[in-house]
Amino acid sequence: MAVLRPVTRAVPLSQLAYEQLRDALLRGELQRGRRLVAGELAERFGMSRTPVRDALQRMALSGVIEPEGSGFVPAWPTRRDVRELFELRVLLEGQAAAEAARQDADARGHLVAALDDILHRKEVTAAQRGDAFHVELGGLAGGSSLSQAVRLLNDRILPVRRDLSWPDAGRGHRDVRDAIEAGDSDRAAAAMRAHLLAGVHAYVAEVAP
Amino acid sequence: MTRVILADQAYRELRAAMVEHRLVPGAPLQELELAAALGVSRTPIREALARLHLEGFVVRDGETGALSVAQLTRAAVEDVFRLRITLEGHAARLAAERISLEELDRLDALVVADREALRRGDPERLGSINLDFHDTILRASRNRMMGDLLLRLRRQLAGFTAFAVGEMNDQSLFVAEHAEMARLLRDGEVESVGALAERHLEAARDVLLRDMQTTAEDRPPTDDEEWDDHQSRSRPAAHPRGSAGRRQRP
Repeated sequence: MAVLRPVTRAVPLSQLAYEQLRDALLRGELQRGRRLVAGELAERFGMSRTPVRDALQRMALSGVIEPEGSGFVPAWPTRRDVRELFELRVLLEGQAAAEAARQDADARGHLVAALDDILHRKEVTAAQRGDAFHVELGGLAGGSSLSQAVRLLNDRILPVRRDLSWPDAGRGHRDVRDAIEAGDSDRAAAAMRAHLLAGVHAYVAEVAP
Repeated sequence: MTRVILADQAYRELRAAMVEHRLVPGAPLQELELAAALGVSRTPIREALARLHLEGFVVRDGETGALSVAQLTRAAVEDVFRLRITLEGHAARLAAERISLEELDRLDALVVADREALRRGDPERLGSINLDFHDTILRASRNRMMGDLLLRLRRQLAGFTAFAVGEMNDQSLFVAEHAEMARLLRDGEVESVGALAERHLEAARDVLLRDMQTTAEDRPPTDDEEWDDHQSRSRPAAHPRGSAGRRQRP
């Protein structure tokens, strides 16, 4: 079941297509080396080709898929890529967590509610939950360049997110959430960094050398 | 001497026009038209546009080469620089530990080129040396994903490649900072070079923001300013603002 957010306003089809694509990558439904073709995907998602083509172009901008022939293929990160991506995530998501915790009580309240919604969702995989959590937190400042960078990094890691669990993965999310609620920016940044550093080994192990 | 003054005045007037939205984001910029409007020849206009392009106020269409006004507000500059400072500070610290002798030699050569370009008063050359300098440090950080991320952000974000041209003093400082960064990298001074890289970008940001008042978007105009705006709109934009204008000169 795809992770769908409650509809509060009409979502353009290309946005839906984009989210379906991300989701398919997250659930490991898009095989390594297998070309992504607009027509096939459109049938699968139950929509026309145009929004699917838009979504593919957008995904290509973040580098998570690459053009090949008449379509695209998922860009599979190497172990080195994963380590480098995590190094960048530690840097930028640590900052994003600190900024989230520095917001006023109202804004923090909204973010914590959104994070709680994600952490308590039923019928989602750990991969979907993790992705949603980090993207939500990264997106706190709306169109800021930091949130765009966090989104790009989380897009790149999609092909290797699986139902990974390492000790305290869920605990890490809760620690970050609690620190944000408390308005403690140092604690939020530290919790985020610790969480990511604990996770990198599990991710690297997922990827063939 | 006169030529330099004209280009400088044309630059200030065009930049003011963009910041104040008299020239709106997306508006095409044509040398002949602008030359006529400002009452100068094309040469100072061309130089002014080149400088504005370096600073991120003007964008060039990849295919047609046509110039237009960028969407660049004060808030956008602050936002983009916050991210650049984080990334480049980090890159410098990594580079201090990983940089090769060859890369160090390259940085030294770029500093020499910097001084030459400064002596000749060539902002475009300074801009391209600057890019080369920072890209070398990025490569030396050995995090290829960071280079990839920066490339994508450069495409997406207005002002991400902005190079602060500023005045002669500013450029002297920036060149001196490049020389110091090269030295600290050679000495493997991780923390010092990181801090300097951050200060270097903060100074560049401040130069860009200098004289860049908040636009009408950022705050509501006061009664005085609405009157000023009215005055400037009814007056042909041929004369740059004198000291009687709203902005202060550096």
